[in-house]
Amino acid sequence: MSVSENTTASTTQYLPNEEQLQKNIARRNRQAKFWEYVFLASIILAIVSLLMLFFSIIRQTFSYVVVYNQVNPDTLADKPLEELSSDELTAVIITFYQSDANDLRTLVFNEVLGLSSSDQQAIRDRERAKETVTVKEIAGDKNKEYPAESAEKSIIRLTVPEYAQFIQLNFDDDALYDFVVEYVVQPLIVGSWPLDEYLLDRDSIDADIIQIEDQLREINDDPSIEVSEPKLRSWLQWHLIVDTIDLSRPEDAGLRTAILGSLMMISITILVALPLGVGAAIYLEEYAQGGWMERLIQTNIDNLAGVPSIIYGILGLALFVRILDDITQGRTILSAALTMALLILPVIIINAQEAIRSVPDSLRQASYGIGSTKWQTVWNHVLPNAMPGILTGTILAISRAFGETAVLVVVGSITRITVDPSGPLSRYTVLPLQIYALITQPQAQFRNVAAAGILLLLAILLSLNAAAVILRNRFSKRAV
Amino acid sequence: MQFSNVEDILNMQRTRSLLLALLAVTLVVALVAAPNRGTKTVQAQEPGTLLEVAAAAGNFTTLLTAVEAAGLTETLNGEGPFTIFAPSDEVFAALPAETVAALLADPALLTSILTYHVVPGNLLAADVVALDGQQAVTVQGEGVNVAVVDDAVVLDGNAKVVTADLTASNGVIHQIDGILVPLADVDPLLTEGDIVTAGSSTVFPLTTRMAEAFEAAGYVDTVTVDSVGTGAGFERFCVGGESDISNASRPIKQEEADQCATINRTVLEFRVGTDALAVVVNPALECVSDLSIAQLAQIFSATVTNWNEINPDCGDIPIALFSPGTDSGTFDYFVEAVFDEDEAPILAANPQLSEDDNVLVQGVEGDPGGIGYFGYAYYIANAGALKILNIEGVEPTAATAESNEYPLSRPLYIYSAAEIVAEKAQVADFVNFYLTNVNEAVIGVGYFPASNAALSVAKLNLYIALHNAMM
Amino acid sequence: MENQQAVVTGTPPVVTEGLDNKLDLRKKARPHEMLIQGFLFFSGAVSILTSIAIVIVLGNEALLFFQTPTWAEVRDETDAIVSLSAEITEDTTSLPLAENKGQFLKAGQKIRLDNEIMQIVAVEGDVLTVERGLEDTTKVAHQPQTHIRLEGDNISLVEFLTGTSWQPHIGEFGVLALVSATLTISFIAMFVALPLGVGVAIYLSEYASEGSRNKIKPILEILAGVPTVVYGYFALTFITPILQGILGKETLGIYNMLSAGIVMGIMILPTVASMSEDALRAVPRALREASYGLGSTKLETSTKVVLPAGISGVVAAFILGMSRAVGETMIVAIAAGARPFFSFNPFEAAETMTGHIARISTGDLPRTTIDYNSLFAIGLTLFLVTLVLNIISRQVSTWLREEYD
Repeated sequence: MSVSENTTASTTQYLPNEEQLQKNIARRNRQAKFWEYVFLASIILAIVSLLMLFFSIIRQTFSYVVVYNQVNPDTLADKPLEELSSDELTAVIITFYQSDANDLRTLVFNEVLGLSSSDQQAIRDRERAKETVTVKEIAGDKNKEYPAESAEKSIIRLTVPEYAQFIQLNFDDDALYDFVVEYVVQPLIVGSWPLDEYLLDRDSIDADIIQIEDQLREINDDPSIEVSEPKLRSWLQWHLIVDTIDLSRPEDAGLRTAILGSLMMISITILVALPLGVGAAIYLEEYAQGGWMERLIQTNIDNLAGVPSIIYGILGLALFVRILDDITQGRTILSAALTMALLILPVIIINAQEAIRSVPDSLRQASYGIGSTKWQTVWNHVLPNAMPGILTGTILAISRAFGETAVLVVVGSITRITVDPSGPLSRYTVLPLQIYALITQPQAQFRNVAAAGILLLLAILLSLNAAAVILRNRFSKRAV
Repeated sequence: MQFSNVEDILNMQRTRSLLLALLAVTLVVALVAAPNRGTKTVQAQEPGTLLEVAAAAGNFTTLLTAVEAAGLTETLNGEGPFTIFAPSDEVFAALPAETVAALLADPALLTSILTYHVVPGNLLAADVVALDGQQAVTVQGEGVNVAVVDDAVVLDGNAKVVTADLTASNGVIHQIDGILVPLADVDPLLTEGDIVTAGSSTVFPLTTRMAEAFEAAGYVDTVTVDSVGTGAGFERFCVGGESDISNASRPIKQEEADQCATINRTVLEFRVGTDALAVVVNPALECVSDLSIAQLAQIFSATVTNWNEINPDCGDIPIALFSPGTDSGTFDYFVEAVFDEDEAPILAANPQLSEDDNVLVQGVEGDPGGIGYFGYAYYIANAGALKILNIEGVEPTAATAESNEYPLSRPLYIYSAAEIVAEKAQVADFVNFYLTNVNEAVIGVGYFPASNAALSVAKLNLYIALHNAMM
Repeated sequence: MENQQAVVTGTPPVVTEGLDNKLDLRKKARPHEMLIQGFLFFSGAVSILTSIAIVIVLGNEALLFFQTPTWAEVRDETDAIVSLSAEITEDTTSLPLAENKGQFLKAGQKIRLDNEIMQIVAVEGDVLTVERGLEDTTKVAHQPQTHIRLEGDNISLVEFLTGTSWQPHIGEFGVLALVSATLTISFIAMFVALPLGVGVAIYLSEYASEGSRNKIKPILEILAGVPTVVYGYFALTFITPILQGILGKETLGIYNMLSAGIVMGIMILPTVASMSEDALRAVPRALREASYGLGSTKLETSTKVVLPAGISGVVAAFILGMSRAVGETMIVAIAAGARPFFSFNPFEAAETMTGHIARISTGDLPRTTIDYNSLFAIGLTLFLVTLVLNIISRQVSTWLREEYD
């Protein structure tokens, strides 16, 4: 103790005294603590941004909606709909579809018989060939009841009452009631408010509802129109995945075509980009002699990775859509996939290079030692060992391609398409592009659909990324 | 087919129908009235034959000429009885000169169309009403669809009976406001092949709705509808030859039709409705409810930049301009109507331009001084978010748009080509379906329906093209 | 060392002498391996081909853009457009103008009506005598009121680079109108991303335990993996209304550069953070130990020793982030507005280069128009800007690596 006191005493003239020193240290520590919180705050802010982003989507995916019945149920029968018998409901259907036999037929095909579009095309082709496709055959195929007296008639040429009877025979009372509500009463969502707005700002929503009612009354010239009470609706529903887009009824809009388009485009993209990307990586890592050519390629790949995606879009537009029109047929999945392949190529190459580089040299030497050629070494030893790394890179590239929009805004452009893509040369839309189209629709309800679509997209991307992370972790453990 | 500007066509039509009418009157007086004068005086109480009654009514002169040209006079003066659904002279007057010429030049075509207006039997108004939802088989062979809509009889979806029960000795005449065209009913389920449409963003919702209706009625292939603007739509149609149908919110220009001709496409025009441009402001802007065209020009050329220059009550609110993109027919039309086709002032004012009308709706909605314009449909879909202005004191309504009283109203078209409808049955089917059902959908989309006369002309164009293709 | 030797030689040495003749160990011709090697080389070359294609496509079409004469409407003294007074057929060579409009045109001038190009042979009063259908354009009939357009100069590079108004339809091609918005939004983005990103990087590299680091990094990766169209949605439907609530709807329209910039900052935050973190972690441990040894606090070590040592990496991250921001499309296409407007005011709506390209190409431009060619001129500008930024960024980060290797 005394020693240290001595030392302090002897150096007082150069160093601050104990008190000052302690003060100084305390101040510096306080400062350090303060800034530590500031740095921590940056992280928290980043996390809050992410949470806000998710919140902004969730609040629109689950929204409060009001509904208006396009056909007033009171005008359909003299009793409330719920009290009608099966026969009376059927009568309602017959009256309503009196002059629209074709529409009722489509409903029977889709809702009762569950015919796919290829089934329907097959029926069409046979009928066009003057063959009679009988009720008995189709309904029998699908194990459905059918009116005995129309058994031998053509399934596409029944009368309205016959189709209605078809529905009645196959639906129980509840299903029939639901059918009448959906296809006769046709409730329509006319207003939608985000979750938080409904919970926190009821007054302005009530005012909005009154305005909506006034408008509906004016447009339809019917002062008795009323909309339903606001109720919670989840826009993330099964039909979002299995139905096609409908730009006039948000509640019916589905994303099937877009999802299939995305999947098909990605498959072709990977088919093209994976061999090319891995090939380039092998060339650069295993074959290159370090000459100017390799350096050029390497620099070039690094630069390409930084080129904005919309530039690839312009390239794709000029090259694949316009110049190679004969091969790609213009704005098709093939054009989009090829453009996308160029876009993700650098990502695949860079990741694959890293993976190949991390394969220990001893493996190569062992291979050469037993007399393998270069290619045998690469194929049998380097590639299998680099595979997890290559796959990680590929998954990341897929996830990039899945969410990429700007490129497709330029090379794509279908705003409404309801038929699934059938091959590389079909016209298409993809999920992010469809979401973009939905965002720019004016009615609030389309934002809800867009939000649900975004949730879907994020779920796909997050699982892809999670897969990549898991793969990478495993890989890095093994390499150690 | 020549497409000069609308006024020209109208002028030609007037001259043509005047000539026709004169010719008809002479003919009718000479052929019909003279030989029967004797009998007529004797049976003062009894009505004459169908043709006599028609002649006496005074407004069927063109029809009578056509009957004569088709050589049907004898039949209709015969025993009968027949029920004639007779289009009046005004309906024929609305026909483009080319169509009239094509009809008169081809007796087979003319006969087939005229006999489609004649139903065997004596169907009085009550009998026709009883046919609601059914078909009446005509002399031509095809059936006419009869429907009762709002207490009026509508035939084939676009000809309304305006005067019923002009009884004659050998039948009855009902006057209608459109021409019936013997196009066979389409069963969309039996239609095979894809259909590609592109063009105006204004017509987009209508064509989309019709595509959905086509699918709802059984069609199982694809109708693609691209919203790219009228000009780009014609580019795809006439230069690239990529689309089967071009949606347009203005008539095709001569040079576009010429381009079409170079890739062997003879343009067919189908009028499908009327649109009014809605000039809208942010609903918070209460001080303005009416603008003149001159004021619009001032606002959209940034000559005035604050609402208090329009109305001092407004307070200091800067004007924010929103306009459809330069590729859209809507922009072209606005520039034509407000700026005498001179784009420079509006572009110099630097408005927010977007091909996507929805972006404009969001823009005006989000800006307290926002003003924009677009098709009436978008206003209907967003009525709550926006406030619509009267122009020159006229409110945009169905009546003012149809009568052209509202200064910013314009026709909507779909275009195809004779070669396409001949080659691709699915396109002919879709156009046929479109023209038959468009009036049910058009109001829901937010436009004003095309008159029955205009729809008959469209159908007639399609029929003539199909008829010529078969020859 | 031995190991590396073997790699360099590639194939193992082949010894043939003194071995049984039956065993032929000479290198066999393996055509399929040649083929494979050819394919591998081709794969590498695809990237070069892509670059060449980008340069050729952009350059070629942009060249067309700079070679296109502008066709400006002829205007009289009241600034009204001079146009045909009556319809002309495809054969006639005399063009009637409205009264007193002949004086605005001279013989020898090249004019355009719709798409047809003509040359004026003589002007007599208000009637022009012309030669029709020049430059492979087709003679067609023209309606009354068709505008007469006069051939102007080609668009000059100087005008393109210095003009501040972008209105292709009236012959104004100043790319600065688009560049200004790009810069404004990018700077707002960097204003958000740089402090946050560096803060995150310092915390992760200097403060966070390995455990919390492993938890935080995936969150940043999620931010990096969110598609840009989602960020656009976020900006338009969430951030803009909040900003409007704070600043008032009068100040801030629904489309504005501020909201787009902030959200873009959030988008590039992970890039800046992870690149900066890598740079900071690459600073040798010895420097930190030395600093602590001198009695520095953690803050002083981080900001006065580690950060200056890793600064080139942070700068590289900044520049790369900037390049990302410049090239980003969907956020600005959705949230920043749709008018080319020369302004650096973040409350204004203005269109960036990328936003303009996206809007123009969704309209599906006809190929022959000046708009279509302008797309490539803007694309080329964008390409060059991002290329330069990327090269600088990489160069700066190489300096860092060299410093401590």
